[in-house]
Formats: sequence, C-alpha cells, structure tokens
Amino acid sequence: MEEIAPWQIWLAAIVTLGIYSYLISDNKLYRLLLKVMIGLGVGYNFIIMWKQVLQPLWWQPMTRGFAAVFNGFAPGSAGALWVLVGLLGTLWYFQFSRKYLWLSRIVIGMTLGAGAGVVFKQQLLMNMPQIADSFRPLIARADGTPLVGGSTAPLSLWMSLNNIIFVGTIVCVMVYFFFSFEHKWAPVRHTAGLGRWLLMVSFGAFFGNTVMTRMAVFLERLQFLLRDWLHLG
Amino acid sequence: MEWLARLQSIDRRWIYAAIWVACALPFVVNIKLPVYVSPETRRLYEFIEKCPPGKVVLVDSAWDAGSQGENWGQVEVVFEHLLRKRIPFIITSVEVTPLGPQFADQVIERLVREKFPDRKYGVDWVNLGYTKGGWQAMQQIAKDIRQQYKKDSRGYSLDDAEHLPLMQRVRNIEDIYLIYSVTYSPLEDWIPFIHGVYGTPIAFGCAGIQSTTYYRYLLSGQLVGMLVGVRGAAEYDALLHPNLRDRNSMGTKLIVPQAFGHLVIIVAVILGNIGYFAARRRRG
Amino acid sequence: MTKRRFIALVTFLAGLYYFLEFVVPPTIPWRTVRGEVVSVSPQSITLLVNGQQQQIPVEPTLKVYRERPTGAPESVEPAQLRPGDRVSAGPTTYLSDWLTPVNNFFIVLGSMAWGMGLISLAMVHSGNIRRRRPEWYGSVVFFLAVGGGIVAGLGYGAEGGWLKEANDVVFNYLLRPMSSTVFSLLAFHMATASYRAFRVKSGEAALMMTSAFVVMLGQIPIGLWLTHGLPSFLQLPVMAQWVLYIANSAAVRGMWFGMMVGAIAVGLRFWLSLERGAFFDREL
Repeated sequence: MEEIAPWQIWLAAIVTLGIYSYLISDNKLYRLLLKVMIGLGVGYNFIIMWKQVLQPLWWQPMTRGFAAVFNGFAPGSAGALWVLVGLLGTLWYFQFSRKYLWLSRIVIGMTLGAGAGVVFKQQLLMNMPQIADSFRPLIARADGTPLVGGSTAPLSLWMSLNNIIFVGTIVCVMVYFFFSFEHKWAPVRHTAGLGRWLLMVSFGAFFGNTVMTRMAVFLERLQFLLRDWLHLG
Repeated sequence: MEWLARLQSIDRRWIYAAIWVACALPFVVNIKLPVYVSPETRRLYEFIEKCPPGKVVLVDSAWDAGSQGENWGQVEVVFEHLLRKRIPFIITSVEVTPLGPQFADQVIERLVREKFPDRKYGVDWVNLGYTKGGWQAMQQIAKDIRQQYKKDSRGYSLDDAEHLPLMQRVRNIEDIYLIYSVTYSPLEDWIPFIHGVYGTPIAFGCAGIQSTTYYRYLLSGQLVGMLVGVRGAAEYDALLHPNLRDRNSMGTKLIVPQAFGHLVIIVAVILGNIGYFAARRRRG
Repeated sequence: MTKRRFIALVTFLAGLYYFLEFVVPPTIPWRTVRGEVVSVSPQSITLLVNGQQQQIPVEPTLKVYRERPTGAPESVEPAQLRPGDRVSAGPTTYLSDWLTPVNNFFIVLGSMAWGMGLISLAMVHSGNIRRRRPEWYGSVVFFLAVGGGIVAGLGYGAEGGWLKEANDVVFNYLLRPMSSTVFSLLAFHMATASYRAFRVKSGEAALMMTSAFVVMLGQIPIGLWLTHGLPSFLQLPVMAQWVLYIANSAAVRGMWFGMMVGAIAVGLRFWLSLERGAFFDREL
C-alpha cells in the first residue's frame, strides 16, 4: 500500500471538520458537503451495482445467450431469455409516469409477492427454535436440565430462579402486547402491568447499547483527527 | 438552590465540548485498561480455535463508513485470528452495502503488511465482492457458490486455479465451517435459510444497538457467538493477546475513550435530573 | 378493475412458488422411501427399511436426501452415498430444483430498480436549478459529485492507473470520512436528547435508568475497575451480562413472538392482495 499523501489526510480532515461545523450551528458549508456526499455516494454505488450484480448476473448471460442464438442456436441460447427480465425490469421506471403508473405496480407486486411467500419459511425457521428454547424447567439442575427426567447434576437455585424470571418475562410481555381484548380481568391486568415493568429493563439495555453504538462512530472520527491528522498521542 | 435548577438547562454546546474533551483525553494520554471477556465473545473465539483443517470461513463483511467504528475492529480481530491459524476465508457482502468488500480489503492489507507478510491472496483469502439478493443469494451460495459469483472482486474467474487456488476446493455450504456476518445489523435471514436448513454455524459482529435483539439467538444455539460493538472487538483482542501491551486493534484503541464518553452521558443525565427535581421543589 | 386483478394475480403467483417450495416436500410423499443405505450401484440403491432390504432404481427424476448430524437433510447424488447413511429417496416434486433460476430472476428484477434513486434525485435537483431556488448552486455541486462518483466507481477493482487513484481518493478520503462523520453527529444528538428528556418521573423510569446505567458501565473497563473487588454476582460486567442474557432476551422474545404472528398475517395480506391503505387503494 502506498504512503498516504498529506494532502489526502488534509482533504479528509477538512470535510470532517466541515460537517462537524453543524454542531456550532446549521450553515451553508455543512449543507454543501452533504450534497457532495450524497452525489458521490449515489454515483459510486450506481457503478458498483452494475459491476457486481447486473453485469455478471444479467448482462453477460444475456449477451452470451444472444451470441449462441446467432451461432445457430448453439448450447446456451436460453440465456437470451434474460432480455425478458430486462424488459420487465424497465417497468419499475413507470413510477415516474402518472398515466402508466400501474405498470410499475406489476413489478412491485411481484417483489412483494415473493417476499410474502417466503415470510412463512423465514419466520417459522427463525422462531420455532426460539419457541422450543423458551420452554425451560422452572426447577432446574446446574446444567439446565429439569429436576425430573434430567441429568444427575445437583439442583441449582440460581438456574431455577433465572428460568422462572425468563419464562415469566416472556409470558408477561406477550400478555402486555395482546391488544385483541381489553385487559379487564384483574390477573390479566396485573400480568400486563408486570410486563410493562419488565420491558423497562429491556429498554434500559437498549438505551445503554445505543449510547455505545453512537459513541463508537464518533470515536473513530476523533481517532483519525487526533492521530492521523494532528499526530497527537 | 436556583443554580441547581439551572442544571437542567445547560447549553447543548457545553455538552458537546465535554464529549470532545473527555473522549480526546485517552487518545492523547494513551490509556489501556483490562476488559471483561463476555461469554458470547469467548464462544466465538473457542469455536474458531476448533476449526478442522480443510474448512473455510465465510465472512459477510457488509459494513461501511457508517458503522466502521464498531465493525472495523470486529473484522480486524477475527481476520487476525484466521490468518494466525491459517484458516482460509472468503469475504463477501450480501445485500447490505456494495462498499463492504473494499473496507474488508483495507483491514486485511494492513494486517498482512504489519503482521503476516507471507499470507497470499487467493491462497489464504479471497474477496468475492458484493452480491445482491438477500436470502435468495444465501440459498444460492449454499447450493453452489458459482451460481452467485462468477468472478472475485479483482476480476479473476472462480475457476482460475492459478490466481484463486482456494476457490478450487470451495463449492457449496459443505465446505464452509462458519459464517461470520459483520455489519451494523446482520441479516437475520442467515439463521433460518442457512443454519435452519443446513445446520452451518453462524456468528454475528454487530453494532451495540442491534445486539439486544440478537441475544435470544445465542440462548437458543442459533448463533454460535457474537461480537458486540467496540467492546466485542476489544474482548476478542484480549483473547488473542493476553498481554495488554500487545493489543492494538481498533477495538482496544476505542474502548477507553468509549468509557469516558459513557461517563459524560451518565453525568449529563444525572445533572439533568438534579436540575429537574430542584426546579420541581422550587415550584412545589 | 382488470388492472387491479392482474396485479393481484401476478403478486399471488410470485409468492406461490416460495410458499409451495416450503410446504411441499421435495419428493412425492407417498412414493418416498426412508432407510439406511446398504449398497449403491449406478442402476440402483439398496436401503434397509424396517429390517427388510428394498431396491430403489436410479432414475433421472430420483431425488435423494441424506440426514446430517444436525438432522437437517442435504440433497446428494446417489454416487455420493456411503453404506450406513440415513436417507430418504423418491421422485422429485421439481420445486426445489427450480430454486436457483427463480432466485436469480428475482435478484435481477429487484436490481433493475437501481436507477430509481439517481433519477429521483436528478429530478429534484434539476428542478432546483431550473427554478433558481435558494442554494441552487448546491444542486450543481450535486451533479458534479455524481459524475465524480461514477468516474471513481469505474476504478473499483482496477489494478492501477488514474481510475484506481480516483477510486482511492474518492472512497478513502471523501466518501468514507463524510459518511461516518454524518453518522457520528448522532452521538451528540443522543447526548443532548438524553440530557433533556431522560427524567426519572416514575418507578418505571427509575428502573429503566438503573438498567441503562448497569449496561453502560458494565460494558466498559471502568465498570470492571469499579467493582472488581466485589463478589462475582455484584460486579457490573456480570450484572450487565445478566440483564442482557436473561431480562432483555426474554422481553425481546416476547415482543418477537408477537411480531412473528404479525409478520405472517401481514405477509398473507400482501400475498393475497388484501392490504388496504393509500398506496394499495390508489386509482390505477
């Protein structure tokens, strides 16, 4: 890898500080840099998508197919059928037409339909092991097996307590989110109330991890400015 | 008491300044502190340690600039582990971002230059570049990797034995020991479509904010391990280098400034609450 | 009305393949034989079924699935079978055989929309320039940047030359720094939002704040440093792990089970075109 030229580091530092100028107040430099960033990103991704996806998966099989067709329907001619997918793909762009908008709904419908068809497999395969794992013994041995029918490991109060909290939390949270009927009956109302309290613990964990993530992005930039640009530390 | 009530209306720019100063200090003074290694990090490390010869790891490096603070360190430590144990690996980015493979290239280039100069592209690792298709792409990769990728990111055909000898023994999911997906929010589709169907172990490297939804997969065994944010990378670095002085991954460099940043947030929340209660007492 | 019905039909057919591929077994159920492999020849496979040997002729329509140690079956050729393997064999239902071409079709179809974002932005910015809206020069800069991005993208994967240099500069010293800096502004917004809004006004808020502080401190070295002298269950990292693995995972599971039912219900509505709303009820 070549030595990084100072002007390149300065370029990165200037655009970084230009965007951070927003922290003082919204300004024209910040808005201009945003437009530069969006423009570069859109243009760059446009080419990458072509090179990495459309060209190998669509263009090349299609052109090879047509070459085979013009070669007297040699093997591989079926690749020419990809032109139909290309024509179908152009229907996306009728989103910009008021009169022929419905044509774009065909490909949107196909994409939505495919996604909907796969949701059954996706959700069941993802969640069935979760459901199975949620049935935990409330009186458990040290290795997690139940008291009756489990291993010979000793009874564990800690494991049992954790399992009771675990299963109890799942039940209470599910009851809280069940809005199909009113929570009038006292046991249901109290269970839902407990579910709300237990959710607070989860939301606190979410908040803690959110702080961690947001900080990390800033720290990487700060490291660049201090070490790579200013050579401090 | 009035000054206590004013604690809830500090100008936001003072808070920004406090974050800048608190986070910059550990960079300038170069503080390193020991970390606690969490179970999910240790499980991933031990799983990679047990990799049998002849198997390959697939790294779905689908992150870009928005999450490089966390994900850079997460790929860096695992790449170092794989290079150290000479476990070959394949890099790709499925669906999320076309820029992911380029970032991974930068991480590897630095590692190879500084620590493993004898490792060779095409033998020890291959970068297949970006592919689109989400769960459809995952299914294709599992059945026959050549259905999804014709060439690598450098333009070599996957059947080019001279430039990509590694790919000559990788056909489908049978040849893959572990799939390590690193991005801001790894696609959960790896779990039902790959682990659920083929039983291939999956591990995630994710942003902290997303990790809270992935812990349930660790409990059910659908994930074999997970690196969470900056601390996951720092913990893995601690397993790779028991001596604190030998650690210099991105995760280790950022964890102490991260700690100071957390303290600023905690102090700000406490001050805001002190001001709130003081104002309430004055009114009441 | 005809247009609407045609779109509904297309939507249904698109989803029908994947639905059937999941629910219909890969082999015809009443003609599928399950047993242990005794011997294999090019013409037939001999299986031990309920203590008796049964010969299955090897035909072009025969599909063989071998059970893996994890229990999930894998599709294999008869020649790959070994004595002792547990298999199920029968005439194929063809659905799984078409998975690759169907997947490729949808991947390419979805990717065809890749110009939409560019066209939308171009329309907005060209409108700004035509009508000389405030800061219209920013839209000129946008178009110049798109051109620069396209040129830089052409250098992706290049071995050398000015295109590769352009790619390096744009990617490493413009795009990457700017993207991550924009994302990093969230750290400051989050800090001030926490300071202003996080008030302990109730018991639930107090519980949430306690949980947040335990997780924030437990995941940084300072948490370990503050409590390393205490018993293990009182150390902040251990408490943070308990919150994440037990309390948080259970709550997230509870939420996700509800979301699973909701996702299936919404998926069904989309698939059968029963969904209502501004987009779906719009005049065609």
